[in-house]
Amino acid sequence: MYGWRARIGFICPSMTAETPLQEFPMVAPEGVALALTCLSIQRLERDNIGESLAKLKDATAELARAKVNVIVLGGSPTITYGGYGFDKEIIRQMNEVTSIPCTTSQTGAVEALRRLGAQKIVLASPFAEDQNLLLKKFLEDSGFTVAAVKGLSLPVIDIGPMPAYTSYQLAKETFREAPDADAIYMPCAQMPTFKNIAPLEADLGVPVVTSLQAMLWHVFDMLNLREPVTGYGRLFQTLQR
Amino acid sequence: MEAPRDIYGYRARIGYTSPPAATEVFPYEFYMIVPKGVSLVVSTLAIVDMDKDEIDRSYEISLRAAHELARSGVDLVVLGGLPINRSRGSDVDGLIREVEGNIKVPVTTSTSAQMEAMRKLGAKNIVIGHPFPDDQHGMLTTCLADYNLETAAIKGAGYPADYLGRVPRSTAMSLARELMKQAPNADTMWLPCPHWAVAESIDPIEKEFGINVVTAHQAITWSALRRCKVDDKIAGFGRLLREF
Repeated sequence: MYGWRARIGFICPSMTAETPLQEFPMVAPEGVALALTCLSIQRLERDNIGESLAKLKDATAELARAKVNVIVLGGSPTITYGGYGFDKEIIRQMNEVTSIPCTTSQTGAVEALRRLGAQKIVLASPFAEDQNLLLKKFLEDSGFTVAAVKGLSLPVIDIGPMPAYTSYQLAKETFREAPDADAIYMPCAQMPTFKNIAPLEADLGVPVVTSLQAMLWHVFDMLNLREPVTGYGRLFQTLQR
Repeated sequence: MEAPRDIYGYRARIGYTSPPAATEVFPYEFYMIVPKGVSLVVSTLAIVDMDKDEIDRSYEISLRAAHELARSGVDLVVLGGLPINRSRGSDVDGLIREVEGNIKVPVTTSTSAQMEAMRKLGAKNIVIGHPFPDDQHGMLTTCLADYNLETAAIKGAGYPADYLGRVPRSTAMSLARELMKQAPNADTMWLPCPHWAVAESIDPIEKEFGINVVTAHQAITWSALRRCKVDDKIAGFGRLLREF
């Protein structure tokens, strides 16, 4: 099998997955594979997010049957839906159907920002204002100061085929509003970011945390995968002993 | 002039409705094979046990997923799952026309891609090696017969559908050796199901036995690339991608 070292079960909250499949192989060590199952978010509206979360336990059970080594729910809106602490509730629900370790990508993002010593951050997102406000509140409740927020107000379906340079420009514009921030956070694993992480860190002098990067860092850490991952930000360097 | 598409899939974005509820091998092998600038957009369906109820549900989900993939602007939608494609009868071309009419994006199916690959390679006498228990033999040989292709021998590795991601990489070669003993005059080996690890076995099987190999994944990827006018000849995964 391809995932002879580790197999990561990924619950993608939207009905389609594109960027995580493209970016995962850029950083995955040899022998690490991703098993994907999709929920059904088509619009970032409360009803649609709730309907999708109703499928969480089934999705967890399907990945558990495939005997993956860890299961992670992706998405910020799936967590900010329930507010601060909801990631812990989601993990509890997942653990009701499996003893395989479970987590969420939002949990990973908060841990990543903490690992990098971030306190005052800027939020550069593909989401509209309503989702950005929920995420800002979640991050503030998690102990961070959110010094600037910029969103692209893109529909979910348009985030995957975004031009690769868009997240670079978005992050730079957001940082310009709060140049004393000590980290940049870009949510949403469907937003292409991987090629921009290292250039942004070089240009702006602060660490960059993106959703998929933080999620993979978090599960690599859980799986004790310590192989160097270079070229995709300072975060991955913290995995090394 | 149209603005340049500075996106991962700047040459082609291929949509795929992926039958297994936990999809693992398809994206892995896809990015082993395709050239830079081609991306995959996946929507997973509901197959865990491969029973009739799941296949029926997956058919319905795949139609909704095809709409969502079209909405995301993919260049082609591939309706995955040979049993799902054929669950309402063997008129797969009719299914393609119907879905294309609804979503206004070019559509193909896993079945069409594999049978097109057989024709392209001139397959006549075929051995089938698959990952499943023997209860899948009838479905697979009937499919070939519907396209006027003969089954010389068939063997399954005996794995359940929820084990596909863990099938050892040596399985395809082991099946090939047993099948070619049974049917040494076969001209083609068919490895259906694009969700077990076979990509690395294609060239070695072709070389060892002097036959052509059609795998579900390789055929789907080949057909999708060519439909999207990506005509790169790709080495390492059989004659199909290298020559056609």
